[in-house]
Amino acid sequence: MPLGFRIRSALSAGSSEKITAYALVIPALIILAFFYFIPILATTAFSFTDYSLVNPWGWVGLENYEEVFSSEQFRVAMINTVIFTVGTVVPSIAIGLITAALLETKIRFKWLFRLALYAPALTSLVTASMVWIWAYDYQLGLVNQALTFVGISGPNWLNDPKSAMPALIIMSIWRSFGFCMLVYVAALQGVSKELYEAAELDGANWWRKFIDITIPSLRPITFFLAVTVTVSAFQAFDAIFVMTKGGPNSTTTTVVHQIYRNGFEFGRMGYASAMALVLFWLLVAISAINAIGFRRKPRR
Amino acid sequence: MTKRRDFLKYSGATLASLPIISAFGVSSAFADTGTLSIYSNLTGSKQAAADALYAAFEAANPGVKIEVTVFGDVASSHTKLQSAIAAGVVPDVVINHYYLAPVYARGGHLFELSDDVLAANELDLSQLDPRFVPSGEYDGKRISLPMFASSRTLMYNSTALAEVGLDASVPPQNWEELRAWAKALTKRDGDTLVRAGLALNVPPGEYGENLFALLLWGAGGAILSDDAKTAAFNSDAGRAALEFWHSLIHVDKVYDIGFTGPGGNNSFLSQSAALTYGLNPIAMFSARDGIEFGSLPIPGKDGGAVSMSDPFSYYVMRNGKNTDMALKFIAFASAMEPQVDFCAATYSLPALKAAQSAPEIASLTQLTPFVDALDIARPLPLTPHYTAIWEAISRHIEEGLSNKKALDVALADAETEVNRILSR
Repeated sequence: MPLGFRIRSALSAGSSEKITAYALVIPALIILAFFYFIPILATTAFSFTDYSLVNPWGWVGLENYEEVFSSEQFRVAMINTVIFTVGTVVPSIAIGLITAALLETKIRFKWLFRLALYAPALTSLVTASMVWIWAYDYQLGLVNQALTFVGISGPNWLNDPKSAMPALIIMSIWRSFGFCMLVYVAALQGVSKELYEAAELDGANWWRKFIDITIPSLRPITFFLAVTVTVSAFQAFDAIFVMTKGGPNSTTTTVVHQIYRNGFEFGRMGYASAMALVLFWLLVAISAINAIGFRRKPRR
Repeated sequence: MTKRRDFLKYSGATLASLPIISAFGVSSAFADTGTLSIYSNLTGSKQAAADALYAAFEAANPGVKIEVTVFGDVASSHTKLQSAIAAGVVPDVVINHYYLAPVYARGGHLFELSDDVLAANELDLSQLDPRFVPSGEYDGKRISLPMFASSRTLMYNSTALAEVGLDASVPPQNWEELRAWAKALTKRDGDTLVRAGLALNVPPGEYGENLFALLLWGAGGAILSDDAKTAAFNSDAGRAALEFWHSLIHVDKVYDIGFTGPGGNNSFLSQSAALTYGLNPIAMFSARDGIEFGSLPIPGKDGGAVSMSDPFSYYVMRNGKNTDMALKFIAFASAMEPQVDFCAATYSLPALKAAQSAPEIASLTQLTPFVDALDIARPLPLTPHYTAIWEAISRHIEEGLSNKKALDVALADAETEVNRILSR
């Protein structure tokens, strides 16, 4: 076969593959553009205005950003968001990993445990929040009734500034860890059984194998979960809106809750956009730091 | 080619004629038929009574269909209406608290209810309670009309009063006497509050504007300056109001912050509070639940009494599709029979003066103190920044009441933030 023909054939085959690839990617890109890129660009533009849904508006330059960085409410909301995120992410991943590892041991009715533990993740967050409001009720709630049973006088969970955030975190962990567990269960199928067998020959117990084989093998999955659960926790809104409305004493207001309030309750979409942009870039930074951290090779 | 040219020609002509058609008033041409779209913030018994009102209007106007969107709280309705305005798809009528109207009026989204418009639609302003009507006036224009109102009284649980030997016929005349009542009525089991003597709690998500305003007014203060351009609450009256409130919680311990009835319900309705600054719907629920209760005037700091009126109002949207029908509906709903029916079913105070003395309303003896309170009641000041300023005031006051900051600092911080908001 002449060389020229072969090159043309190869190019033609390559072009065809490229066209197919573009054809497959373009619909997703269009959706992304409409629902992500354009809104991000619009939000960026709005953040330099005093845009309101109902009033005339104009450019204000960096005023909104100056207000964001000097606002006491934003500072409080950011601290609350970080507390909520750390309080949710670390236990959710840890509990998810431990339950996944336990479900990999030889126990009966594995499917039932998996289903029961994953069920909270499938529940509507608003519905779950309503149930938890009842569970946290000071006088009649399940939580305080249970605590009373063991001789502890429970707090006024959602109305006490000291207990409102822990109450939300507990609810958030309850809802998040099932997802982590499910991902870990899937990932554990890919961990080489030979490693465990070799460790057993060396006399390693369950805990040693968990620390030295399971955790390092699941490093990429842990990174994935750290990013997704962190991003999700940073965007917490529904449960807060339903359960505490950011109170008492602003102890549960988060950045997204403040974005909502400023944008819709106070008619300050421009300022809310600036807050949203700050949160967006913060999440990008956190994801990048996580990525760098997880790419570093573990110490031997 | 010809077909394409014809299509473009006729499409162009149609589009060009749209402004002319609308200038002659498409809506008025179809005023007696069509759909009337309403956004309503009426829930519970009020929603049921409003449904009866809508049905009566539809029956009186065959060919008219009312489409209602109901919202469970002020924040949701506010969010939805703003989004509707931004999207250009607004309802014809909004039924909501009077104080949100300026938010929309500022951007020119409300239809001005001028004297001429009212006269043309047989809406006689002189028939409405003059104590409610000013709540619909903002920036020299009438932007809403009252549907009904509520007022505030000092509600007491008769059983609790009898238990501690207090006589409702000798009510507290000032704050110190109110404090003595509240202390006597408070019941604790160790540190656990069993019954609040006086519950002044702010439910989650609410601003607490009613409580602070009543205390502030009781001490002779004002929330905003007369022109509503600056904060006026950082005053001796403001400090007295906060100190009284703070001492009730921390010194007299007549209630705990966050205290509610079982299931998070209103503490007065669950009989977990003996006194409260209640409004007429609480009277309705108390009567329904068989609670023995009564209402007294809310005493001021050194005597006198205070109350607050909160008219629920109609706003007509400027870009609504059926403005004429909207006005016709308001005129219908403001007549004697619908007013009496709605207010008797919901323990509301009718906006129509004549309806206030109708036998159906007068026979609701537990409503009478709320009607009487209207003589001393005043509304909160109108401002297009209502939600933002009350969130700021409430947040700082809450921090003061829970000892996160000194009361003076709380007032000063609130003043600074409110003035910044009002300057926008």
